[in-house]
Amino acid sequence: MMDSKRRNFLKSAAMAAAGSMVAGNTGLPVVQADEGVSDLPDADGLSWNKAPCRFCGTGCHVQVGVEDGRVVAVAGDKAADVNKGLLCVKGYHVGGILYGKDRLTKPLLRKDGQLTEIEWDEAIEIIAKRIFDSPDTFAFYGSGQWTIPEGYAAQKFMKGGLGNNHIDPNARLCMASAVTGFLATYGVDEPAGCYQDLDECNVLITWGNNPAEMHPVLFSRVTDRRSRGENIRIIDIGTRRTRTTDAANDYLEMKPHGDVAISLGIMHLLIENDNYDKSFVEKHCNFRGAEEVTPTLQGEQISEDEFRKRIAKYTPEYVEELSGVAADDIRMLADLFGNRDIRITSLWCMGMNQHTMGTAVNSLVHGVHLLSGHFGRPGDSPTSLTGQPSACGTVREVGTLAHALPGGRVVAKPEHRQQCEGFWNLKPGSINEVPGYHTVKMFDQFTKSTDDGGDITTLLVQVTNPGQTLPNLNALFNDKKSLEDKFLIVSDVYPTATTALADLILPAAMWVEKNGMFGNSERRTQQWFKMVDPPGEARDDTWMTIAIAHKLFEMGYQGMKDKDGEFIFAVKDEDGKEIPVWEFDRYYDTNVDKHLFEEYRQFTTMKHKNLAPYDEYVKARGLRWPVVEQEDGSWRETRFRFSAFDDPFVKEGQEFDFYHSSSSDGRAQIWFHEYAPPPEMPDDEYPMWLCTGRVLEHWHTGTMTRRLAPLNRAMPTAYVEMHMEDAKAANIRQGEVVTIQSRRGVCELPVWVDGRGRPPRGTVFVPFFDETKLINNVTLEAHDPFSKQPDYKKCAVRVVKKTAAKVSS
Amino acid sequence: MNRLTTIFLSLVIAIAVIGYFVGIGDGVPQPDGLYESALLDRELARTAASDAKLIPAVSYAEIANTPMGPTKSWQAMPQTLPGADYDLYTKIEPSEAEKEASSKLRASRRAFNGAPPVIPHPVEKTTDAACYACHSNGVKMAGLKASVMSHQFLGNCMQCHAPMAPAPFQNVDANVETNFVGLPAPRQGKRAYQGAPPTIPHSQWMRENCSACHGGPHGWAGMESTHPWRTNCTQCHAPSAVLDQAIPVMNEVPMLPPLDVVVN
Amino acid sequence: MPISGLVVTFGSSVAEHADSIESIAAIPEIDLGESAGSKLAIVVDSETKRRDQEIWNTVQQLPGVIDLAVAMVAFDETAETNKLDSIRNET
Repeated sequence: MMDSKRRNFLKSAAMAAAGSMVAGNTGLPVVQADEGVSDLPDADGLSWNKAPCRFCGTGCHVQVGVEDGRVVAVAGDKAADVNKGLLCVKGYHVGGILYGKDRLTKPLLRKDGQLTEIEWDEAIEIIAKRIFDSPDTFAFYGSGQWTIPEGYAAQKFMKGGLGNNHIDPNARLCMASAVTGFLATYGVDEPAGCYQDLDECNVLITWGNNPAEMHPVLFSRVTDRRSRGENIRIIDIGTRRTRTTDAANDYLEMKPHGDVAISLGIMHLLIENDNYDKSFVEKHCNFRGAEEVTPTLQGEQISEDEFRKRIAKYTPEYVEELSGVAADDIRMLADLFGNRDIRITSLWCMGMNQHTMGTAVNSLVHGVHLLSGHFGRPGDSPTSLTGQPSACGTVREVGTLAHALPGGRVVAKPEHRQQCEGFWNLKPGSINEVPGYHTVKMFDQFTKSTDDGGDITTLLVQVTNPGQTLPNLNALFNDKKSLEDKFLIVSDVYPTATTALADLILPAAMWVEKNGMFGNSERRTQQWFKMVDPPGEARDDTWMTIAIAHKLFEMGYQGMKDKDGEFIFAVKDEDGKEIPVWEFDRYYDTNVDKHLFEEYRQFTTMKHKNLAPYDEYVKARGLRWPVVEQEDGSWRETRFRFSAFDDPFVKEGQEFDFYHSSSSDGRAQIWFHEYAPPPEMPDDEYPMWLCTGRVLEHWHTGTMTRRLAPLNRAMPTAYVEMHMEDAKAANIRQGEVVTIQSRRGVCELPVWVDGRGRPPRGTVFVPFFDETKLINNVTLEAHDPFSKQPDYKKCAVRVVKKTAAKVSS
Repeated sequence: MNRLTTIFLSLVIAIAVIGYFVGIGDGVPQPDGLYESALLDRELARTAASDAKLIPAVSYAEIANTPMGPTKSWQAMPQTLPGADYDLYTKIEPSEAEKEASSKLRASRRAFNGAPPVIPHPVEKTTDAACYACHSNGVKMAGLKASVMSHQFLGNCMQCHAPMAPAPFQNVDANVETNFVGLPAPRQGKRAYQGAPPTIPHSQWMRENCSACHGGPHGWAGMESTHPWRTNCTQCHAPSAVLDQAIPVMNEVPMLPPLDVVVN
Repeated sequence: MPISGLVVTFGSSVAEHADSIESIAAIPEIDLGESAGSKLAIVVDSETKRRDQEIWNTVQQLPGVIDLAVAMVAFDETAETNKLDSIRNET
């Protein structure tokens, strides 16, 4: 007979196991209809329409199934070149983001600490009055999730209407170093290649990048080639093992900042082995280094000999010492780049951008590709990925940054200001020449009291959640709470960490509740139409901007009038009669997006980022700029910029032409930057590296994905990934809640030992999606000198058991 | 106090025991009898000595000189290959009740019809090979059924199929408050007349392999094809343009203008 | 001598299936555990695997039950090594 004691144990274990499946999250309740929904969908009257996915910068197209005014299904769009009918787990469930029960549906004003419902008219008036009273201390914080017309309207309102350059987007935290890297190298922003490179490369190198989780549709475009029998070598260079590592042939584990040394090491060997592409370099490249006294993005030209001299010390052995990657592996990489018969594509995203040497490392990796000639042929491409759906389209192209103007222009250049004043029909001198505050500075000034020189008093935030995403929240955001005279206005769809401190909350329409346009990572501009009504009184962000502008216009604010005294956002019908689009019930009398886009399109030809007319985008699943009209009247997109075989702007007779070269000679710049250590390194007091990032199931701050049942069940909480030995040494158990402490703040998180990602000893990783566990209380605000982008990927922390933390405090 | 300690300790032990079983099974609950298949038991029951089919083990040194290959008794006997356990021509009478139950279970794993199903069991290994081991051809074992993939081979399974919460976070409250109501599971296709082949009531995209659900040994009860030997399904069953993005959906069918017939 | 922790899933809330739950409770080898929503946890402690399989089939066929999932299985190896009680295929 079975030992009865053991049997009882087994029975209780079995009961615990079964019970956990009942009480836990594995139960999938049958979808219950809300009381508001009288008719359940039955596929009768179902209609499908195209839209780009709301989430990342990949830019997949989805087919949205709408029935009785509600989104009921989503499918991958088979006609879309980006995703060819596939999506990721977020994309398949994107329809649900509209239907969280706590959607904001009414403007809310904080009165005596209490949020009270108010009418839209009152809300717009409050905002307009604050701006009217003090236009220079107003700032607008936007987003790479702004649609192109939203960003364009905000840009024109601020820089044209108010003559105020304090407009910056969250993409400053995400893409700024990629921008400066492109500008420093090619003289013009955005990638030369496109996703076709992924179909043609023989070697894929991921630099501090985990596309298997963050850009899964692009990554499986490569791994699916492999399962069809093609031979592709994937080399993962990273600071921790990830799902990308699982698919990689080689994993090179580097120390934080090792990427700088590795790229220098590859260039050193290419020169030493004399197998760099001499003809390409001779015809198409210059060498460039930073100025000694005040380094600028422009840098100064150096000779090839000088370049050789400076790079000489980056021998494989020295690089091994700096990066932790074995000298032989550096040689392996250099040999690959030295082989012109293979095609190499590099992929990177936040690992190289959220970096205090972000501009430098972006430039260096471009330099590796240029020096080796692995550039400009399909499959040979340095490819920077974006994290937001329109970081390229809205932020980089419309230029919603503190120093920029639309179409690659900058406020500092008089001729650029004049051109914009011309397009906008403004009085000369309307645009301010001094760049405004970049993100970190903007929030620093907003959360500092006016007496201490905090000269931003009113801040309008649209389509983003800085209360969760800014670094070092205790320094840059949380102080708002105690500042009575600072006024925070937040337009959002759900309550967030940012609305928690807002004085005025504006309920916004999202995604297919409004018309929109996005621009993805491969220069592809995408369009969609409104398909369903927003809930309650939620309204379009573009409308909010226009309504505020019109209220100022009514109050007599001069900047809201153009040279001829007309409202700067005037939209006229065919008979020349003005349509009052600032009244929301008249907003959809016309397609405001189309009016704004056609106006914006004029700006795009200067930097050869030509866009097609709006109606062309209605027909297409996005088009990659430059889109040029053909003789037969059709519009042709461009896949490979600067390469004669595809780019219509390359000079006749040239194989490659960098026609916006910063040296004005059609050449790209190969940069040298000296390695520098990270600003904060682990020490006795804070002995661990902290890296932050994302997970497959959640997108950014999780305000959308954490309201989707299948995704939130799959990843219900943020956690800290830890190496087994580190956990053992600190006597920390699986799942135990610990405190992560840095010099700036603390965050409590459950431990996942050897979790989905596996950091090496001495490193911990925390995803930032969970608004109940704000890891950005811990991160560092140190940033790149050129791009002003903070480094979220490395700072020093300690992991403390909670019991011990209580004793010590 | 003492009782609390006991409860606490027994909980710890219970968790340890679960951990042990989960651990040895790579996180997948082991169905009863997994290691005791009838085949194995019978094999072991025979004594090795009396079985001419067993080849005695030899030392490494002897391998080179030992004849390998079919044994004498095997060669002497006419062999029949094991028959498929699935008979294509069994008469199938799908039951409405089973179909209803299957539909409900399938629906419970999808946010809407057409969404990739979530993974209804714990997973530790997330490599493609781990998923393919069961889901490429399907497995049915002790009441558990691994469905056959209805689409072509695609890598990175978890790109589309959301897993259950990771082991350490299974008890975190992951409830979501939502008003989303998805497209329901299809009931049946339309028939032009009684006896006509029904149309396909769902999109075919990512469901190219009809027999994954509608036939084969691992299809869904109540949804089986009554004629699994016919393999060119769309020869008779028309796909749905509305659901399938196959052709642009238009409000009216474009036709040539009527013939210009002169009437005297 | 298998002991298994199972999760019974009903087509709707557990409360609506009192009859089936009564039938489950009536099986002497079964202990009822907690329930939530449409799910009910049970533990089956039976003498033989054949009996375990019978109980499985019985529960699965009860009205309203749409799924039966295994949470954990344990069995005493020594008790049954000599028995050749093969598990039948589910056909």
